[in-house]
Amino acid sequence: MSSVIDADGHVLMEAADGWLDYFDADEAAQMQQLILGNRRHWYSREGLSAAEAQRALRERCKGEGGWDAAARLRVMDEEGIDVAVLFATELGLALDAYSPGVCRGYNRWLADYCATDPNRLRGVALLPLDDSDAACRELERSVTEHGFVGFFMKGSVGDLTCDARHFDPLYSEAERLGVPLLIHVPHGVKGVLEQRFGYDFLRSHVVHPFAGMLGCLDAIFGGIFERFARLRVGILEAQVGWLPWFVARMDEQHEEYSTRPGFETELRKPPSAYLDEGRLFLSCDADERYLAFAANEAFTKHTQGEDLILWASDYPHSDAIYPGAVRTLTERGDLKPDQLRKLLGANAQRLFKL
Amino acid sequence: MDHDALVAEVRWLRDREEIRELPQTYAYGIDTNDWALVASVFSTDCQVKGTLAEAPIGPYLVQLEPGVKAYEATLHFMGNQYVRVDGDRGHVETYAVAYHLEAEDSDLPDLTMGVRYQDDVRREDEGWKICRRHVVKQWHRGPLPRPGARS
Repeated sequence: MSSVIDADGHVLMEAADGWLDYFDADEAAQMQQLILGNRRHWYSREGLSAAEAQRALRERCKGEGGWDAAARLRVMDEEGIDVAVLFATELGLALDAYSPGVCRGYNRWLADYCATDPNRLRGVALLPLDDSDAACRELERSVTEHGFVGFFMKGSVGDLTCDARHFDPLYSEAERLGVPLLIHVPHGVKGVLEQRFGYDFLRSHVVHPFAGMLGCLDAIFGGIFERFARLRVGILEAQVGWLPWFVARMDEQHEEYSTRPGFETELRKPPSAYLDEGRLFLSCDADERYLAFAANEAFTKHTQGEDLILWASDYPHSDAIYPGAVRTLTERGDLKPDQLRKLLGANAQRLFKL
Repeated sequence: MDHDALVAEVRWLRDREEIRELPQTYAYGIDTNDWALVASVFSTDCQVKGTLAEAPIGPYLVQLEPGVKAYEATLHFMGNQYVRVDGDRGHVETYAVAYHLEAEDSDLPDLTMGVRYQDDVRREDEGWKICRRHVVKQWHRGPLPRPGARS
């Protein structure tokens, strides 16, 4: 029952042996081309065969835990992680939304991966987000049959941001099932940034925090919290150092504009007051410089940063801290014991209801 | 007694009292499910060797919380205390009988433990904190670990 929770780890189905068996022939061809044939991805080089691309992908990871559940459990034991919440890798990046069949295949693969230890490995569903009915059905299957703990989106699907009414039936279903919406970078803003910067490290300066800010705007200003009184929202891999400034900025903007014609919102109270509802959570990196600053920030009389921040490993991605992610957090020296307790487990318990 | 000696004496007495309060505050926090209060008695870099696990304070508390909440109620009855103070460092050992009560309709028997909390303490800006804890189990009656808990 102990529970140091990694709120955002990753699997790499596309690096696993036999992953194409989870798809029919058309879907398999589509997936192979999309994922292993994507020349713009960080592991790809021109002229690689599918097998070479898969090998290149594996080599860029920190260990085999992304496709080998037993290996991951060994890593979790070494690191002192009790539960890992697991997101996709390439399927989280390549497209905004996938067909129902692809989602079903991926979720089945992930369920089999998690079945190695279903109490410790907890999946996050991939949904056909552009088809609301199909997304609801796949979410129900993922939660009731596979035991998944949430579903993810990039914050936008094509031109639709996550506060679009298109997603309302899905959010109703998520409320009914008691699972959160998990917004994981990148966001549609990535495309704009790619046009500006190209695919290089300059883009990554801003895409992650921008995605987090847009997630906050959609959840709060976009009215998700107003329309769905029980829905919980997690924002992953966006860091949190920017959060105190951004919450203050939202309050300032709301105060300045909310009474002006043409700027009406669904908000019944200042943006920061929604944090008191305890339904918005953001993940941090163990080594980000301004983590303690964000954790200590009193957003309202009742809510400090430490109440909404979760620790996440990002394992086994190449930029993850491994080995020593938990140790990096606990040995920072600028987080109080109760803050560590919240960041390492208590807040994730509130988000995922494990 | 001259003034300086009196001040030193009072400071020594106050230090002892504040150090004695640390394990008592811990017990009160555990038994009232006030985890912020529990955490408040430890230093950021505290290492804990408990009856079942050894870990830095953050992961230790994360694991302790659901373990305690699994019981219907707990009551830590704190007894003998032995205190040493040496400047900004000190040590306190506290005897305790910890009652862990199962729900009335549970099939599990209650757990009672006799333990000694051996706490190294340190004076910090916010006051005295436990910077290293070793929980020595003297005896127990009932299931330990609790069935169903992952050790």
